[in-house]
Amino acid sequence: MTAASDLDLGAEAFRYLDARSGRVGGAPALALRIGFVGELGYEIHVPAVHGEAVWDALLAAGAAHGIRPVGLEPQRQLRLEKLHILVGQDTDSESTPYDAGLSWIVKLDKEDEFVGRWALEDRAGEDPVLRLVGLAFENGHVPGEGAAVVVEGRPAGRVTSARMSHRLGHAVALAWVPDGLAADGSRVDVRVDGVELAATVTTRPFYDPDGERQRA
Amino acid sequence: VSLAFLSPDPVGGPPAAIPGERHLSEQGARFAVRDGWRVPVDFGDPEAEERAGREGVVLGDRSDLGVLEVQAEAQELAAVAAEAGGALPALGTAARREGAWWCPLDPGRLIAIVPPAITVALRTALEAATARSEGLSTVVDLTAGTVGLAVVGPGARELLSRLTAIDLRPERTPVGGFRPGSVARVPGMVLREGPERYLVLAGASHGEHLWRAASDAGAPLGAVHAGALALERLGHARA
Repeated sequence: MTAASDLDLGAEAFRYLDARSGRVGGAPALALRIGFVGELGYEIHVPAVHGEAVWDALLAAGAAHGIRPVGLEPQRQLRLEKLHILVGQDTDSESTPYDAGLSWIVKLDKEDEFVGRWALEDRAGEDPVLRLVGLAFENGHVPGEGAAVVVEGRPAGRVTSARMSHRLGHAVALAWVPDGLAADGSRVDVRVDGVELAATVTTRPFYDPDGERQRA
Repeated sequence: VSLAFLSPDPVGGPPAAIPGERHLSEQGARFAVRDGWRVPVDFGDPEAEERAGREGVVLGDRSDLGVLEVQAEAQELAAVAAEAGGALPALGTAARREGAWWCPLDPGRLIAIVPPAITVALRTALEAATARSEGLSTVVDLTAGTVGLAVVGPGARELLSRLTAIDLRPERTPVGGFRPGSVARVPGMVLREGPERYLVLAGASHGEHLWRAASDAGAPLGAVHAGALALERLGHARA
């Protein structure tokens, strides 16, 4: 990025979750320092008409570092290791930031009005019925997305995303589980092809739980 | 941080690529950079392309046209447009002012379709006008998100009738008529620029599809591709 852009990419000048305007590959760009896959990274927005030129410039600048293009699937795996959610896949119209483990993102003390304030204030004091958590499977199976979380033989939640983590050597998932089971180390069962498989609950990311890599 | 990055940079950036470049390359386009855009200047015989535009029908790329979307309170939209030298005609029609077409989409939203050489100047004027307006008003540069396809010649309406269900009969769409609707099954807009001249706009991500669909629709009519040289001789101004 340093070779391909005119942005100051110093750790203090361009911190995690900052946005900066500048040029990348010669094109006007909006760069966002975010880390959906859990590593130090930038999301670069340029006019579509300059897209191929910017892509080529980045690949050329990264050649010395072994840069290579990746598809969407690795991104899906890596973000699950971080328990980063996909809104619309891991959440639905009934979900709130409180039960999705995102309470930290709600700023009800904000002075300005914002869309959704009333709904968030209304739900703020409620105890969630379900919570979104991570699951680890140590039996080699990858549950299908939509698989039922089962408590005492009855469906009590669902898996929303699941992938094999090649880095961890076992399957990881995001799932809605009953509030009482949403604690680190809890055991739940997930029904896969008629068989109930044990999984362990985690509320913290599997990979780099303190976010040191993406904030580097 | 702003939305300024959405605007292609015709001066300092890499040449801007048109959405249908791959298809047009396959059709034998010869490209050159003009006003910062890599455009097809001809397909081997600009004279023949011009002749086809006068006697038959041609398809030409106009993705280099600036497309500026203005949103404002309904009662303010006309004033914003006027302050930037434009106009707000009735829905379903477009007005031409100083080289730009002003096309209302709904009571609070219009697009200005602008020759590339004056896009930056008009965008700047619109930004100044919206900044002075009292209500919430915005200008967003949609140029890089739009594919523009010119259909020119006596057979233009016949070709379009095979591509869209929008009623383009002269009594429904006279010169200056502006019709948003489905074109080649994607969201689009059709502007009748002249008696035998139409401009189709759609999302840039549908560019290759639109080009292939239009080429297929035109094949039985003998439609040919026309480059910038022929389009200019057929009256498509760049400034």
